[in-house]
Amino acid sequence: MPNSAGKRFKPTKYIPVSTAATLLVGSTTLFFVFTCPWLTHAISPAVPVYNGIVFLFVLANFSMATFMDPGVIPRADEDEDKDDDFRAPLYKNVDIKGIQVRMKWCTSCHFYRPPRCSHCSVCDNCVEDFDHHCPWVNNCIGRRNYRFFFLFLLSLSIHMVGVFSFGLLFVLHHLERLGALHTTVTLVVMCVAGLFFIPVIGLTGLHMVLVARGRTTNEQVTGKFRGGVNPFTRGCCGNVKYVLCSPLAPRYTVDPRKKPHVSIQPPFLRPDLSDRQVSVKVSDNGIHGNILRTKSKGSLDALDDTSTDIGPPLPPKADKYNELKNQLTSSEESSLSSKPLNPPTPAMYKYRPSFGTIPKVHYHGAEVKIVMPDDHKGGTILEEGGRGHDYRSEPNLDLPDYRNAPLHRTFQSSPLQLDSFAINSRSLSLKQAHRHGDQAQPPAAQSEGVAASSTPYKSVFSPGTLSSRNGSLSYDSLLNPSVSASPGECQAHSGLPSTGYHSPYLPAKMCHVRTAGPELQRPPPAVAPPAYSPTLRGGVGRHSPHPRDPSPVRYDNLSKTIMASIQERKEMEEREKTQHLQHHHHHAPPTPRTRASTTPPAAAAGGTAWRLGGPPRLRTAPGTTWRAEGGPWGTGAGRRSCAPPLLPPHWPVRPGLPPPPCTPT
Amino acid sequence: MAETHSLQDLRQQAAIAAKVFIQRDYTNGTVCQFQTKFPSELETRIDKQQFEETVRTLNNLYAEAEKLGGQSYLEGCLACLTAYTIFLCIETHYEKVLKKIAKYIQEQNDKIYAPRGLLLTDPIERGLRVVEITIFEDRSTGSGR
Repeated sequence: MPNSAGKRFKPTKYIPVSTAATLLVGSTTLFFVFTCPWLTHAISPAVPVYNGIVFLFVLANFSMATFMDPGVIPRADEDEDKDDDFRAPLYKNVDIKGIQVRMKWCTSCHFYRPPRCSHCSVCDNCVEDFDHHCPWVNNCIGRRNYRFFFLFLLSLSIHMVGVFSFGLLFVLHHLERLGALHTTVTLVVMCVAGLFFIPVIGLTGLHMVLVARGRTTNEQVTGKFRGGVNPFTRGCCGNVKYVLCSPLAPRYTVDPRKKPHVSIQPPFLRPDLSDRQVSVKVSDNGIHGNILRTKSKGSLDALDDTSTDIGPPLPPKADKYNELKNQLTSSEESSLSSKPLNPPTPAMYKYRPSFGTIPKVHYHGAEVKIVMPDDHKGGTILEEGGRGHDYRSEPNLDLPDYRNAPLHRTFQSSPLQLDSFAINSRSLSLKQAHRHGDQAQPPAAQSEGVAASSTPYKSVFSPGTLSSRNGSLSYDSLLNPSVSASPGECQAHSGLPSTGYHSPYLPAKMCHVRTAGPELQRPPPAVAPPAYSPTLRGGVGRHSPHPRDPSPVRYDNLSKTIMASIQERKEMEEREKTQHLQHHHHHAPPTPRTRASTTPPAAAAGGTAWRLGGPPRLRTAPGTTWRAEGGPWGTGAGRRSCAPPLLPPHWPVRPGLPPPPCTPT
Repeated sequence: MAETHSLQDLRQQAAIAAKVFIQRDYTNGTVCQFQTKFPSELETRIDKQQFEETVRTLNNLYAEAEKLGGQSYLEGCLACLTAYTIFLCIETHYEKVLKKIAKYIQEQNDKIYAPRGLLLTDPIERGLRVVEITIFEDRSTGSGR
């Protein structure tokens, strides 16, 4: 009895296994000592031999079930955990032979439990093909030792039947001497065997059924396949074969001494430059070289970047756009890096949507337009100054100084400002400046603003993670956070534009400019900082002809809530599309008015934009309006802008202007 | 191994830049198979074909290890007859294949992955859940990702 002897220290845990072993070995020994001699004489010497063999088999299986590693899966290291941490609360669905199986995140082991795996609360381990924890063998029954457990049950049942029947035979021949020692002992052994026979045979029967059906006790008890199909079954025969004859699975541990040693030496071979690398280079080129580059950039950044990079008003080449697109993906991936550093800034809300909604045409259209005016500007330096302000998103209201100076200049310089697109873009930047007015803050602060988005999807996740993300967030990135970038990088991206976003939309902008005609190209300085009004933006956005890219979300990873919200979004988008078509014409006209206005830039911008966008909007469905502003994903943000408390303090400064978003109602 | 590696890394200025995990492919049940999808992180390091070839070979080896065949029957019967004491003496079919796999991984590391700054880790160390690929960066030249 190795176990009962050696494990006295924790009695409670070992009571069942000791009891079982004692009963098994004790009663069998008694049977051999008191009953078998007579049976050998009276019947055959084969009887004790047979019983001996069965008993040996029982004992062997019992010890195997007790001492064998059931298939414990080693816990994941921290590095792997990092990778999955973000998704930790979620389930992961995998397709097994066409059937969806849910893999649950194991908080103890830090991985998604493979199918059929379960975490044993007694052993505190994840066990592969977990069947149950058996106190009678004081071990989990899993992939590696289920066979032995099953054989133990089978042989034990046979052994009990044998002991009971031979004992009965003995007693029947000694009825006249029941008081004798041998007969009494035999009776006692028979009682023990009889008592335990019922549960044991029941358990054996259960496991025979389970083996035949290819289920585990755990799955059966928790009703995993109730009304469903079992993707793990191999057919009756196959299941039995699998349990009894499949190669014994290995232990998941490796002798450290056996680990191979591979030396990694720095001069690494590299294949040709991938597309991705090329795209990065593209983004780097141009005037902004001095600015720090980060992979994670919001769409805002992208706007700026384009403007600076593209000196002449000419539209960028198509191939460049493609490259940019590529980059877009990469930037999305990396966008998450900044999250730990930056707390969410509510002020950024309006902007967010555009960033978050990469696939949405509307936003991009507006942004693209912004780029155009910048291009026309004479000096890149000028732009940079203005831009910088735009980017900075700080809750501070000091903005007037910053905003006015840089913005003003920008507008004057840009000939295209009359163009509605230009206005829109301006408005965006203005807005940002106002809201987060503190431009004095370091670039790091800017990223915060970008990060804050209130889309439903994000809300699903923990606030910390959500807030920090850039506008460039995509579902994919949410689900699969890339390795976090260094803090420096995070800071950089707020200020630094990524070209990635433009590419798809530029064509749209170009079309616009052309359609607008030459008149638009002479912009009055006043037009500049237009539009808080969501309507204008929305109008512009609608113009963009590009279909939305399908979102890269991996749906299986999303929880039901997320799925629901996605669904909702999709529907909304559809609606918007239809509306967009209907109201398309309303928004085009506003440009001329803008030109006419002679008001100073700051006031004019807000006012003009408002007037331009406002009237047509009113007629349109309200839903459309906010939609346009926030974008499909940014709905929440758009609404928020209307709310008084969120409005930046500087609003009152322009009493004449109607509060853009809210007035339409 | 970890210790030796870290020392070595310091000396050679090769630092771990990232880790990529190739997850299990459960589409055919719980048979040990890994996804052959090429992770984008490796794009700059290795050819897609080479990577897929490695994973496919691993999958074949694991399929061989888990195959129900004459050898596994024989092993099971022998084990039963000897009350499983045979497990103390011989190594099982699965273990043999695992050794083969370890050898294959070592070979792949030496020939293909290590020169590119990558390191395959034997899945057995991760409970056969993932193939871990460590990406090293070259600190001395700053060319790392």
